Amino acid sequence: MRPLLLAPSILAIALLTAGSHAETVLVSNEKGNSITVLDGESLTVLKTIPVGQRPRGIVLSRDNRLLFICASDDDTIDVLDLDDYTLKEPLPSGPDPETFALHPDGLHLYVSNEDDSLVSIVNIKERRVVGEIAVGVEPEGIGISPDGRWVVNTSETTSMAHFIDNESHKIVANVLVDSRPRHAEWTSDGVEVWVSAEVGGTVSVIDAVKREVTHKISFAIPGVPNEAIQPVGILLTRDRKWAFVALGPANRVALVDAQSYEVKRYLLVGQRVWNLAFNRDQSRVFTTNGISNDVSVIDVAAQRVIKSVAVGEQPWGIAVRP
Amino acid sequence: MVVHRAIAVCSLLFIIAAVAFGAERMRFWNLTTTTIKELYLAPAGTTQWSVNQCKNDADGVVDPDERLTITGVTPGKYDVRLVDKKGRMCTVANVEIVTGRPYAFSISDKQLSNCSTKP
Repeated sequence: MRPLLLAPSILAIALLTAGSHAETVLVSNEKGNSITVLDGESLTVLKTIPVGQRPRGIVLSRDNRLLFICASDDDTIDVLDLDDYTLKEPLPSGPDPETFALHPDGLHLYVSNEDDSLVSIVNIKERRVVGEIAVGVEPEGIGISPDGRWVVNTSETTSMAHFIDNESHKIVANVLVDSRPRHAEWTSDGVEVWVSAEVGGTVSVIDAVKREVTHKISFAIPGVPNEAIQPVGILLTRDRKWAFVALGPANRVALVDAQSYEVKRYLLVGQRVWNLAFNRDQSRVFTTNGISNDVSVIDVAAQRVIKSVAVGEQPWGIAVRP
Repeated sequence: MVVHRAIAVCSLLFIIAAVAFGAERMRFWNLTTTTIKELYLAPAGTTQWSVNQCKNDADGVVDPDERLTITGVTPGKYDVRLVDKKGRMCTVANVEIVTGRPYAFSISDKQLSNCSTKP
């Protein structure tokens, strides 16, 4: 009888354990040459793992078991196994990889090679570069449409968002945006692409079908000079209600109504806020603050910063493993 | 004779490769929070300023976190003078410029204490 009575308890414990699997926040430290692992609930540092030189963009594999890391000064993509935190054999990347995006097929990484004005396509399974697309000078942000058909790449010096047909690998449209575009973020429905301009100080909202700028969002913070307002990272909620925009040395994240395109609030975070990531249920936003060497945590519902956590030297990229 | 020539050619190629590698690695890393419009180097304690190194950049300025290729200098200690987007002219003394790593030197906000408005 006793084993039968115990069985439901064991099952309940197993379910609870599975359900309470903690999220981890992964941060690349550009000058520290490391990845910091934070517990997503307690917000404490679990580990710091040495990786290649100048780690910047990071992205999770589709099964969330691997972290791909642009090791810019090593000209490779490091591969970190998140089950045992060991580095696997790196992937090729083309020179000076800075940012990248994972195609929805989970097999291809699209990498910005800043020094060569190229987007390299890396097949993860075959471990080789399977395509190169010539783009504008100093390519930076990469965003792939939810259906995987279109890639948008921003080029910093050319100040353009290039729309690339993912079947032909040809540029089909160049959309002029403001100076030094850094990040391209698709809405979850694939209708719009939001592009930040670091020097221009704006976010351009592009109609993904017409490939035209339909709205331009500007920022003004009392007491902060305009030149300090440098938009970089962008996050959009799945329901398209809100956007979060990192404003660099303005040390603020702008909260934007994604329907009216109005800035509703500025949230004070750490110094030179650069990139952003949601947790799984989008109740929190994590920011990397490159000068203050920390991560700020924003409570989305309360629209306020609830904590900052010290990480490594010059935090840059961020991802949350569910 | 042939062997000597081969050695000489190999040595020359080695030197060229070493110089090329060294030149490739001489890069400044802007760790300040401001865009740098002009950047000059002079051997420490002198006023023998180099040409404006920002001219080596594709768009002629060095944005925050950007790298800039440095030309016409060899490793050693230098004074660095820069002009940023705000119009500040700052001098940072005794900066060590090294080779053999991805960047030759960096400057952060903390080092920008000796500044004035550019005339």
